[in-house]
Amino acid sequence: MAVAYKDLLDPAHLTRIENYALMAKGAVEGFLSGMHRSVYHGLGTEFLQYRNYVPGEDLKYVDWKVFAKRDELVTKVYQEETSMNCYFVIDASASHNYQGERAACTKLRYACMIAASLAYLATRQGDNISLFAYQDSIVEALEPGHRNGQLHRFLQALIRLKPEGHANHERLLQSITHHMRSRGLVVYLSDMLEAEETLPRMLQTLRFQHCDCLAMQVLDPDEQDLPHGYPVRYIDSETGQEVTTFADTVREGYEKSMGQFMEDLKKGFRDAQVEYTLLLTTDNLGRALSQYLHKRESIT
Amino acid sequence: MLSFGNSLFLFALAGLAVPILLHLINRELAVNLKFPSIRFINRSQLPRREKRKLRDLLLLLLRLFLFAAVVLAFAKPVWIEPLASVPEGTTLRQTVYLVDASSSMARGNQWQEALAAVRKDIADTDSDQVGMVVYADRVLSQLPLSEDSDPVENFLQELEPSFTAGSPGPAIETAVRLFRPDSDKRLVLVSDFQETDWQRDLPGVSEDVELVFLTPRANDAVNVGIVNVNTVPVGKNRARVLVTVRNNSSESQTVSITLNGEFGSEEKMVNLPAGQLGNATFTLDVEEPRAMTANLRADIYNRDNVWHFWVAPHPVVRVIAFLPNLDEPQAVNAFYFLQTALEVESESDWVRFEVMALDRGFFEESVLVDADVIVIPAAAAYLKDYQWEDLITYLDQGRTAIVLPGERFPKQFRALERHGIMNSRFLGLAGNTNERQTPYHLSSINPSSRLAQTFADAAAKDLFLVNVYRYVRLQPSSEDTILMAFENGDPAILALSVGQGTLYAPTFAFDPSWTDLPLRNSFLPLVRELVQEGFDTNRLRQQIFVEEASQLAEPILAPTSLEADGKYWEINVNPSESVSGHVDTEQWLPALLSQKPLYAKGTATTHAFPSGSGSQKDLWPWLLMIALLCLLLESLLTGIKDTVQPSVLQKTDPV
Repeated sequence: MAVAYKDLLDPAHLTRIENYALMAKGAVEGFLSGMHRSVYHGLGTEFLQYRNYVPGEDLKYVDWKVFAKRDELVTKVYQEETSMNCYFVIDASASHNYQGERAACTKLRYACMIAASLAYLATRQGDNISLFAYQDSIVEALEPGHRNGQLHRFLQALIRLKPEGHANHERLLQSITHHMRSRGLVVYLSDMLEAEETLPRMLQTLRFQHCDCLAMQVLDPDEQDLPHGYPVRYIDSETGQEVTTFADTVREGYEKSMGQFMEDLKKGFRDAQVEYTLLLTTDNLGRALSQYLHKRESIT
Repeated sequence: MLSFGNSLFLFALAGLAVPILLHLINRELAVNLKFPSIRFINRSQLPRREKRKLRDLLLLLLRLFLFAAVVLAFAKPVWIEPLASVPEGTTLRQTVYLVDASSSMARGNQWQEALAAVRKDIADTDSDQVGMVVYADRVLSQLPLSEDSDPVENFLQELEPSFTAGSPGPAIETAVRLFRPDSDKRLVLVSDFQETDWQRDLPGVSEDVELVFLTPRANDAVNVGIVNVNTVPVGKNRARVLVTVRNNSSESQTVSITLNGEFGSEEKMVNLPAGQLGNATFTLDVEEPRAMTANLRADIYNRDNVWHFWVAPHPVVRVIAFLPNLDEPQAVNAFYFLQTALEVESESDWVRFEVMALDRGFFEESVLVDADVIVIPAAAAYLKDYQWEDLITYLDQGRTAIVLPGERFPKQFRALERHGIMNSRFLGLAGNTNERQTPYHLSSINPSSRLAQTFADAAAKDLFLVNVYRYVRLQPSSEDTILMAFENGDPAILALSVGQGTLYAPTFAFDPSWTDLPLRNSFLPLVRELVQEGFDTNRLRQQIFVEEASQLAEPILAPTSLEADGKYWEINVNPSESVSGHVDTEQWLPALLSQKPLYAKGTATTHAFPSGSGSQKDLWPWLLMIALLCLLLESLLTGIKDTVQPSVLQKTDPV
């Protein structure tokens, strides 16, 4: 049975693919092939491949020799040659181990899927990719690069990640600041819980180092609406604190507090001039990919 | 009046509080859930399940009833009908007579005296109710407590002594249970108080039971009784009968012992000192099994003057040899020597052997059943695993097997180790050629074995000169018995216990290339004794006493001899009933009975009564029925509850 386009970006579908490389390739190719007109080809001089001409496209890229031979309009695609670094920063604390009944995977797995897809896309665009994953301290670090094997190393690092411990954002900032010496794009993936004041400030610091930031908040739908219709003893994944409650009676207050938290977070990022995107673990990866491409284009 | 047999169980009713408390605090249980952040989650009161309140209440009531009914049933409640004849304010006087009807009560006129004593006691004692328990090896009959005297007299008229030994313990318990808890209790023990019966385990009797001992007049007249008759085959179709008698009187006696049977009768005189045993021996021609009796002349106790027994020639011993491979010379040689040694007949031998060879395909459980002894000459290496299992099953039943090594001896001994038959460790071969200049010699025989009797003193000389050129060396284990050993201490023949049977494992083959034993004089007695070592030549003869005859298909109540289940049964009166000693009923017996009360003081009023005694009714069957009904309703109600609202508690932690 043929795989539908929407399936290629559906977390429920993608999470069944254990191999990150395969998963990222499928998601990205699916995403790109679904667009009417792709302008995100490379701007370099090294020929990469042909693709069919799309009406409206600049005629200067049409290969007329091929047209003469085969009576077929094709455009040349070139390998982009830039030195832009794409830093992926992933929060791998214990709170990312949550998977609600509606979600197909845990938050960490979802964040890794996004990172893998974006890294694949970035590599395809000729960007250098780098990875920082952290909990109490940095647990995975990969220097920027685009040579052979960089994507493989990136994906292997993602595989090794296990959601544990408490997220120490301040320490992360201190650790990665000196790594970011050149201009680049920081893709930050986290649930951002209890950090609505810290994170915008932190990412703003990175902006001062000429890095564009893309903050992607990964949440489980359960965290938005607290759907449990039975008494639950909630145990905080990171602190171990407990609270026993009946969700039906506290849901209204919870949604209100959560809404306020999200608003504060958005405002903080807006003030820090950091682009913010909320992603639920039930959302398909298309939004994340398009966010990246828009940002990438604006940088270019 | 309501009474309880096990009133301590009533304390368990306190457990009723548990479901009530559970009901009062009944709330849904919280499910543990690891959540990313509990920052915005407030604590709240857990909801009560108000919707199911009525159903819960019904369930609670049913469960309380169920629990209470089970507890009360275990407490053995009894409903005792109040007696109209007992005036208010007076105590009911009850007397139970415990009458010994064991065989010894038939001595002289003891039985008549005992019954007369009972009648006199009933007449002399002003009891409101009289009951009776008659016993021998068990409770034979009982008469419930009754105010009417006619049933008692009718009951007495039908009694007569049995042919069994007495066991008063269970009868005392039965008699005590006949009493009402609130009555004035009197237990009258009517017996000869023979020491062989009354020195067994006796139960204690509560202090509120008055004990009375009615003893028939002691009779010290002469009594000589037969204690045992044994038969031993002597030569072909001849048997020796050994009659053992005891003089139970205080003076020496000369008695005449007569054997009676189809052949006629034969008599012998025996002189017996006081209290001593004596024997008389008869030799008879026996061609086929026949029942006989040994008789003494009449005396004060005639039941020990007759002894029923069987005289039978010993059956042929069937030896089955397993010969799977006729090409194996050692197997064929060993079989030839064994067959020759076992089948040779002489007038002095009283055991006959029948040797049969089995092919490979016939070694199976159904064939083995017919074998008295199995011999596996140099062929154990050919046995499959399932055949080893068959052999072990065969040995488990108390049979015998002999396994001789052959060329493939390592496989045989490793199989013995592997199947857990042999605990000794196989080490290898000692010696390897028959040209060896210094052969090994046997040097010792296990003194507790039958072989040690056969080869005692000079008879062992030839055996110890036997040359063994090679043998299988074993490191002996303490769990294996060494029947014979070499000079260096290595085992020559092992006796391996398998269940109730024995497997004999010589460590050398009965073959000229291994030893010259088959060519020596010692071989024949060695083989025949080895085969008989674990074989019971008397296995078909069964000697039991009348009280043990319940194991037979048809009940036997008197001494006799009969053939049943392929065995010859000799059923006689227990000689312990001939003993004239009596226990002391003045001090020793009352003290013994009061030492271990059946029921602790103060709780004697709570014992249960046997059903059918007339004035009491057991209530526990009704309570169990109520409990079952409650259980059924509870299951129905629980099913409805689960259908109406699936329990959210079944939800699992998604993390």
